[in-house]
Parts: sequence; structure tokens; C-alpha cells
Amino acid sequence: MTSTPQQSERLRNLLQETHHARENLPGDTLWARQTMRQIRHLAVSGRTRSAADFLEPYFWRWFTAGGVATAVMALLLLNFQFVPDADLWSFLVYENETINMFQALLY
Amino acid sequence: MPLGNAEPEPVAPDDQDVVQRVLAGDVNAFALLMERYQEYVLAIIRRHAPPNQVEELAQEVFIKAFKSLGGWRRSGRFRSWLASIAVRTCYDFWRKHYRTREVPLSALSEAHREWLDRALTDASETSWQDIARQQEAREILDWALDQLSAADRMVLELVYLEERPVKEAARLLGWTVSNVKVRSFRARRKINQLLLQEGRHS
Repeated sequence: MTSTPQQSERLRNLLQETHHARENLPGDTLWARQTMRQIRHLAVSGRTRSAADFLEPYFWRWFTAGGVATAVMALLLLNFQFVPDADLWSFLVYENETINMFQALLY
Repeated sequence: MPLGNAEPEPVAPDDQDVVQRVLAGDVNAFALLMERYQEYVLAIIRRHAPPNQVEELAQEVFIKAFKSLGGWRRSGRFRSWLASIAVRTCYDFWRKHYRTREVPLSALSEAHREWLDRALTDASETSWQDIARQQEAREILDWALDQLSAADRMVLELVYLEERPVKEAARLLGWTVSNVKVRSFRARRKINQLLLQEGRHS
């Protein structure tokens, strides 16, 4: 088969008719009712925004920042022995080994 | 005149009035817009997306329209605005679909090649509509479109298969006219080469 302008034209007709035939595939209207229900829900939730909705986009950012800040503060406090009950901390960190390690890293 | 006492036919509110009502808080009025345009939106999606995705995408289109209703410019027609949302939703679907596609593209089967060869060389009186309704025609078209990128696919369908003006396709996709021209030219050349070559191999 050689590609002549006639064949290109036939190919074009074939593709166009096949493309248009897709329009007539059957369907139902259940999706429309579901969509309307979803839209009503969206409208209601849009009107009554709670504090949680406001914080939600920032939650993981604040959560991560808070975790990092706590870890840094704990490290500084332990390192400079600002913790009043040092024995308890020493017990918790197993004979101060962890602190020694951090101190070795810091100095 | 006997018609003097007849009650006037209720006039359906135009799109702008309905949109105003929805924006003012009457969410149920949106159902009017859905009733009015659901067949139109379905027809667009059926042409551009697989049959099993049509209803899901239609749902997405109306939800997007509802969310961005405030952004509809009153100067344009609501129908055209909705059409651009539908076309862009289909484009987004194909972009996602192509990104997650794992099955490698296969060649056209021997049976399809022979069918294509017959369809392109047969000089009988069978109409294009009859040929196009056959399962093979749809499978071959789907196969050929699968060989293109999501962008090429959309532009080819709009410009080459639906014969929409370049300017309209550009508006629907939100692209520049020159981008649509270049892409449609390339996509058309690619699909012609692909299918005419496949037919030749049979």
C-alpha cells in the first residue's frame, strides 16, 4: 500500500467518523445526582469553616517545625546542663553517654 | 381573543441569572445549569476520554465549575466556559494517565492491520459512518492516539478530528495559537505516518 493523497483523505474520514461515533455511547444520570449532592456538601462545608479547616494546610509545617525546635532545645539544655534534675536525665540517657557523644560532636 | 386569559409560559432564567443565584447562596440553582449542560459536557468528554471514565470526569467538570463560578466572566458564554473546563479536565486526565502508564506500547495486531488496509483501499459503497461504528475502528483510533503525548492527543482531536478552528482550540486548551498550530501539524503528521505505515505492513 502506498500513501497517496486519496489514502490520507480516506484515513482522515475514517478517523473523524470514528471519533464522532464515540459521542453516542450510552450512559446514565446517576452521576449527576451524586455530583449535586457533592456540590451541596461543598457549599455547606465552605460556609462553616472551622479552626481545624484553617489550620489544616499548615498542620504538617507547624508539626515539623515544632518537632525540630523541641529537639534543638533539648540538645542545648542537655549540653549546657541547664536541666535542674540532671540525675533523671542521666538515667534516661544511660550514664550520660548520649550527651558525651553530642558534646564530642559539638566541640 | 380566547388566548387573553391564558397564563404566560414561564421563561427559563438565563445562565447569568442562575449563576447569580448560586453565588448568592442558592446552591440548588446549580442543578438547573447541570440539567441544561450535562449532555453537552458528556458529549465533549465521550469524545476525549475512555468510556469508563466519562461519568467520573463529568462529575469533576461540574465540581470545578461550581468552585470557580465566581471567575466566570459575564462577557463570555457560560457554555464556552464550561467547554474549556471539560477539555482541560480531559487533558489533565491524559497527562496523569500517561505519567502512571506501566504497560509498554504494543504494535497493532495483524487483524487490525488487515482491517485498516481493507478500510483504506476498499472502494465499495460502505459509508464511513458504518465503518466507523465497527469495534476495530475504535480500537485502531485508540491505539493510534495512545502513541501520542497527552498534549498532541488533545490538539489532534480538537483540530484534526473535530475540525475546530485553531483559535477555538487554543481558547479551549488555554494555549497560544502558534503552539496549537505547531502541535497539530506534528501530531497529524505522526498519526498519518503511523497508520499508513501499519496498513502497509499488513
